[in-house]
Amino acid sequence: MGHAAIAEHDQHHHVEHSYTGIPNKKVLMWAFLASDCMFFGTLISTYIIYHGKSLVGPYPVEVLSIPVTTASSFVLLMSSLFMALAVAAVNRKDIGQTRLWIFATAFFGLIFLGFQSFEFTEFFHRGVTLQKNLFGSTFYTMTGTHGLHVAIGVLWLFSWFVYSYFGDISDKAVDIESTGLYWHFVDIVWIVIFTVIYLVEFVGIGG
Amino acid sequence: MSGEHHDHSKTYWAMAGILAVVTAVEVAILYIAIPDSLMLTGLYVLAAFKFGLVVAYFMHLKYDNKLLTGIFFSGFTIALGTMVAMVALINYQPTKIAISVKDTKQLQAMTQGNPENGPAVFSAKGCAACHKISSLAGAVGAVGPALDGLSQRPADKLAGKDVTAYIRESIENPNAYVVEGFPAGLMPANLRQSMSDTEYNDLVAYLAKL
Amino acid sequence: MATSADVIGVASPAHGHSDTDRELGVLGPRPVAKTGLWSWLTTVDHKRIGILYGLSALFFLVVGGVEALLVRLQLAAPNLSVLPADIYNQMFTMHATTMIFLAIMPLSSAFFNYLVPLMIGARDVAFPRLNAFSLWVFWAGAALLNVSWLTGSAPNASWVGYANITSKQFNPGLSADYWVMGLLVLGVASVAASLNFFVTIINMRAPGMTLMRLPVFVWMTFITNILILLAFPPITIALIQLMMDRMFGANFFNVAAGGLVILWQHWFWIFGHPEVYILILPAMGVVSEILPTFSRKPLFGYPLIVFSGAFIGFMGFAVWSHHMFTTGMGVIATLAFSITTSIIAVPTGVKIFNWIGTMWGGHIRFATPMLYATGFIAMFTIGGFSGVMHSAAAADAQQHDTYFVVAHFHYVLIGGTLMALLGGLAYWFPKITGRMMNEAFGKVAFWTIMIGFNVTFFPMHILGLNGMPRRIYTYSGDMGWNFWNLVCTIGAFVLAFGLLFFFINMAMGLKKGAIAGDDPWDARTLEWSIPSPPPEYNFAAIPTVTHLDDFWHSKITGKPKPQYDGHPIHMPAASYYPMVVGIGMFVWAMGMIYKDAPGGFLIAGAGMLALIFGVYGWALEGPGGYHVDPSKESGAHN
Repeated sequence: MGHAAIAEHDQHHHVEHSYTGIPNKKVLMWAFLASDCMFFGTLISTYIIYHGKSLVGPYPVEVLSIPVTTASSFVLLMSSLFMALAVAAVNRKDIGQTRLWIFATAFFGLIFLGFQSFEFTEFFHRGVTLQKNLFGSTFYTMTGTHGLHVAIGVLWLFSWFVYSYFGDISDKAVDIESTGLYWHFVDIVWIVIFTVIYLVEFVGIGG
Repeated sequence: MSGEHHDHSKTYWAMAGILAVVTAVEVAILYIAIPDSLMLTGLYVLAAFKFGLVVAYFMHLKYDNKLLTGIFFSGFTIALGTMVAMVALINYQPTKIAISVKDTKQLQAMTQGNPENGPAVFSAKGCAACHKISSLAGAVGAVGPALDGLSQRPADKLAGKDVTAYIRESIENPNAYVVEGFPAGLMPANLRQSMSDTEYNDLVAYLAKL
Repeated sequence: MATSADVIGVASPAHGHSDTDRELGVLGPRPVAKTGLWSWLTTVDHKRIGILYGLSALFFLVVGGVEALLVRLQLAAPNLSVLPADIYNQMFTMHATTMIFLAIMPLSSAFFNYLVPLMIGARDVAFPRLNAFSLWVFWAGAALLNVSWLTGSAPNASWVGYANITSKQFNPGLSADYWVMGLLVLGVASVAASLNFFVTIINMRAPGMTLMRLPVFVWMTFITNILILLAFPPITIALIQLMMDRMFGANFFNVAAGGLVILWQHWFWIFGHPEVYILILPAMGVVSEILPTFSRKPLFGYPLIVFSGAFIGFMGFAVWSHHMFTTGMGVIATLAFSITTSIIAVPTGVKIFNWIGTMWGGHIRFATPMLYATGFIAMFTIGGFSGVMHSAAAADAQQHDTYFVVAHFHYVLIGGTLMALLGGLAYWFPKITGRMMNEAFGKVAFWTIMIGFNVTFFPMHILGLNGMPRRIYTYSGDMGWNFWNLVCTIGAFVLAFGLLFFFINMAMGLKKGAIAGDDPWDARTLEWSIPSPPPEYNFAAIPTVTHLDDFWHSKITGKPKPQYDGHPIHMPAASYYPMVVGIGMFVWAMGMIYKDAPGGFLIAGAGMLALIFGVYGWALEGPGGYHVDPSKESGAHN
């Protein structure tokens, strides 16, 4: 819920000086992301610690799907590209382009969430539940928390999109950049999850 | 502002291309026949590479104030260190206290008595007054059960019980196993305390051979 | 704090500074009251927020203190049943939880809020509304934890809440749910506040206030907040895992499904050990401000103190398993954590010698704040010694979970932290209220606290070495513990009277204390260069800093004071939304606790909606602001 913090609008037009020259909001976001490393680190290491300790199936190797997850990872990576383009556009004060790329980012975020709900439903039908075994508990809690981060990001981006029709976003470059930093971070967390949880699971199995 | 407002859009497209290719390579690696250790190393290196690209270019750290890099990687490093330590602590902790072979032998030597000295202890501690042993002169008592063939008793009555352990337990705690037809509580409970470690080990070794 | 400021412009969508015109004022007018209850509830002024934190902390100090007295009454003699056993469990759990999260941390936070902007020459924190948000969320968490008393199910699994004492199976009812949600919410408050102070210290410094010119208190605040940022996420995740177990049937700490209860201990102490530095470092900062002022000497070895603090903070993440020596981690892990724990004693010792070096050869005045500061050094040293004893794993195995440990951490937390923070209150009381506290009565209070504290906690060392375990409900009369337990209980009441004297002295000082003036102690840092109490904009003219202890330096060299340049000062406008978000979070958490009751989820949903509404309202109203002209305000020129 600390994200409320991030929704706070920058005071750049009143903060006459920043000692380091870096806008306050950016320092705030980077500090938050540093803290979030510990947050996701705890989730991911819980998964690793409990890996192989489930007493009953289904086990991850039976249900995880590399093709589906590769597709969703690709979608999230591309949304990161769009986000970077949106930030570049708002720095040029190009409102149209900013709006376009923000929408594209949020849209791809939604597709990612679609993949995730497909995956969750599929797993559920194959007997993986939160209550079933340690794999279910750790997997849903970790990817669910990541998904919640994505969902908050999508909401945030759509809010910018709507706002751009009512307010002037040309002086909100720092704010949008902060949203972007958050979005990219969600992406790099997924890079780690994709490798550690999905790919490594299949090492030694030979496809 | 960072003062860096060059437009990096072209770089972003290039980076996205690299990221897509690397992701494809990651998946492809899974299907190549290489040793697991090599495969794992490859996957982690590629993930770190992708991580680095996003942080450096999309998140702009390459162009931004170095302070921001410092802030982020301080947190990242402490998180990574803590998590690696955690996994190691829980998954690689020794579950048993390891005793070396040398220790085990010393332990055996310490508890292994000389059966030839046993009869003397048996008589000296007054055991013979209550227990009969056919092969030992003077051991004619009938208050307690005869000890002939003692080594077979746990095998008959307590499947799997070690003879030595049975004898030790019966001396240290006389009521642990009471032979049918004999009253409990007659045998002195402090017999073990009345003899030295050597005497005790010798006695047990002798009884185990009956 | 009511000022007679000439308010030139009051924020509203329709007028004010031209910059605010663009804000979308669709959500109604902003609060404009300058006095009265609403002005306090909607304030974004760091000084008012600091005062509110301080008053809340003192309130909970009393609550936690009463809980401690009840625990001591139960233990005064063998086989008593002053409290029923289950209430006793709730009592010691809530005593610890209250003291740590609702008394000591917010009291430190009160000092961060009030002092950091003043010490670095800023007009407010970086994010004033986020600051108000932290306060409201803190209140929400505090309310959650304490509302549980009314339902008869206060948290009862001790402040460490080890799995699986907290599992649904062994802890049915709502005790652990209140604990989980309360701590989760408090964690949000702490992290939000820490982000704010982190940015404030990095970015809001006055020109020339380089890092190595920061007052030590600001440095320790900085390190503390970094620790909070990195230590709270693991406990947040652990609490979420526990919540998933209890509320949704997950298996994180369910042994029957292969879960590891030891995992909870690890997560808890990865948070828990930095937490003890979160509790002590601000106190070290306070002492480092008081000692030079009353020794009339610069702080001895400023860089050493700063770097020692940073090193303690860093090492704080590498020692957590020394709380778990008896869990059988294996020889290598035990050895490693034993060594890191021994190492951490070194920078702590360095600091103690630096403080002594500061006093050495100084022209010492033993005013009340100085008594607390020296008391801190002595008591903290004792606590430190018993602490370093625990780094020897073999010795720790004997002392683990005995009253020896209870004695140790009370020496560090009361003899250390509380002693220093009370000294800080005595020291900055004139700045905050504009009036002095009574010196003679202040000394009586100090000595009563000092004697009461030692009578209470020193015997606990003996009890612990004689084998008395922590958290036991009662004991039999033939254990040889009767005499010292009675002594402890008597000491606790003496300590309580000492604190009562301190509070009475504060109230009397507020009513009829002598007028303090700007700089009653001949102090060194920037907050003493402005009026007491400070105007809402703090500095009419932002100072330019050229030295460590710049104010003290300027008093000696006669450096001219900065002059107000005549431009009206922009102040951030007050806001309703932090309050809305805080209340929304409280309602959401209550709904989650009662999710199985009819309508529980609805309540949680309503809370979440209020929260989201608050966040959007907050974002859309913008920071806003109004302008103040110091030249039209009496006493603003300095």
